[in-house]
Amino acid sequence: MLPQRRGVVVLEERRTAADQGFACPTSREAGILAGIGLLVLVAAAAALGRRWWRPGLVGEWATYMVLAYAILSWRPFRSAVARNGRLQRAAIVGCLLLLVLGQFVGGGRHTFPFVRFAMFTDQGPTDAHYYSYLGLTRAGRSVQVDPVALYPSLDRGRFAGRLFDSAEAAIAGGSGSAAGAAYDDLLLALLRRQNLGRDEPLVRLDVYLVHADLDSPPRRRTAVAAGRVWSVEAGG
Amino acid sequence: MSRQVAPPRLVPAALHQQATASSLGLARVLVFGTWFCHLAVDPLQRLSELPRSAYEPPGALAVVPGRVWDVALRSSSLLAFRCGLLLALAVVVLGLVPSQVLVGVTAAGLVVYQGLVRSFSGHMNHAELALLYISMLFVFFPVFDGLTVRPWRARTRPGDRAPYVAGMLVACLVLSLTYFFVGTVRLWKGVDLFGTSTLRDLVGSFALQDGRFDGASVIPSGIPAGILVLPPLAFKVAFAASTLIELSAPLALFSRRLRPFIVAGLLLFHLSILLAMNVPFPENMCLLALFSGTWFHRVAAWLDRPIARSPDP
Repeated sequence: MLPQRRGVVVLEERRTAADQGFACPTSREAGILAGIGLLVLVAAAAALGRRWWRPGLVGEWATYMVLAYAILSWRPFRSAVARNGRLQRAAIVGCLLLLVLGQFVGGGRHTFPFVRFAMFTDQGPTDAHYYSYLGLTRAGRSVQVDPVALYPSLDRGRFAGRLFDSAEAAIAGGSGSAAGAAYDDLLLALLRRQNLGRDEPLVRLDVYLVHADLDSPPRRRTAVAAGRVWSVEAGG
Repeated sequence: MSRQVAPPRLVPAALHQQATASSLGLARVLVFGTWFCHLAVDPLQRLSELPRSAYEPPGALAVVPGRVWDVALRSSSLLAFRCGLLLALAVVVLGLVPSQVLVGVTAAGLVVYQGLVRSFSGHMNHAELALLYISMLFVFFPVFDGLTVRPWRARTRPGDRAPYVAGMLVACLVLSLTYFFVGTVRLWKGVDLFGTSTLRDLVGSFALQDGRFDGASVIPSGIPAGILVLPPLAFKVAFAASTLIELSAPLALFSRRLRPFIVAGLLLFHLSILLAMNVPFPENMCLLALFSGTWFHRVAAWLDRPIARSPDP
């Protein structure tokens, strides 16, 4: 008999081994799982198009199916879900389905909040290649500007990624282009935020494209190939 | 002649089979409390200073007309949104208004919040997404049956712990899936990276990007630069080991014996990312407490004790 009062927990509760292990799903359940799996595969095929298809994607799908089968076979999960109402069961199935769909179809931003979870899956460049920001005061003093410190909401690579994309587009388009104007606006916002409450405000913000070889890991001061690629003046 | 029947073999209960209303209540406090702390220190209203051209709403938010965003992205609107969401989170954490509708509205607000910050992002970071999914799931579970400031008896389910067990298990499953997905993609797409210097190059790149730049040279960021003294083999082993930990995350659901090692491995994994790349994952580190099983229920029961002892009206 399970404890019934709130707050009472039988901490070393034990169950029979038969309640805790794995049991093969019924053929109906396995059929539903296979149907849902195929639906995900067809949805991914329709959404991603032919050029995205590779053997690894099918391997990924098969791995998720194996895990789904294991979860469906796990007695504690099955019994807990089965004893819930229809709404809860629908929420659980819906959430898991959306997660898997997002994992297959959500390569970019279009399926947010269900997106693809993937990190460090491609060979990166063997050199560091990024943009750095140096401000200049009226007295000629140089100050490094950290955009993420100015906008902490956009930490963990978010703002850095946006600024990188904007810089690449602006440089490709040139200073008279729409991308160039958009980048100017972005940099002026940084400049204004950086100058808030400063005794010695910045009058110019320079963007440097930095290249550094990573063959010898940078452990101390490292000379880098850096060139100024863009500038904005405060008030202009 | 009677034959003695052997008693069924007893084994320790699986993860969260002992979950009570208090356990799910504590999970509610953990999940929405983490959001509260996250939003309390996030100056969201500053985003109004960024040009509208940098704003690209992702996914579901893209259907909202541009005029709505013109109003929503004002500093006063963002500040009001932040304060309103903080208030809703506080009410949910404390259980002052035990309404599933309120949890639904709060979860919707969190989706908008996360969409807003990702609208100014180039890279679709997934740091808070497990927390977001679990918040959305809790809309459908009786999270106010335990650990509320105001006693809330109307919906207690004596004898039926299924919603609490299922709620806790699904939260753990969703969290483990987010790790499993990352590990699986790397296994099927980037398995050849394990033999390369990818991880060491990444740490080197982070050390430079977070370092001090003077126009011609960079003083690399301290801790990542210190980590770079490790031999190249150490980075290759760490890369493979972290992938193995990610892939094994769902095993923490099934195996009582492996669970402490997997949870400790994931904590170490997040800690090493913080030190080597300066990328914190505090939300996921907090959520790993959901895997503590017996201890989680023990703390929940202890916290809920005064309410449990109060006389029924």
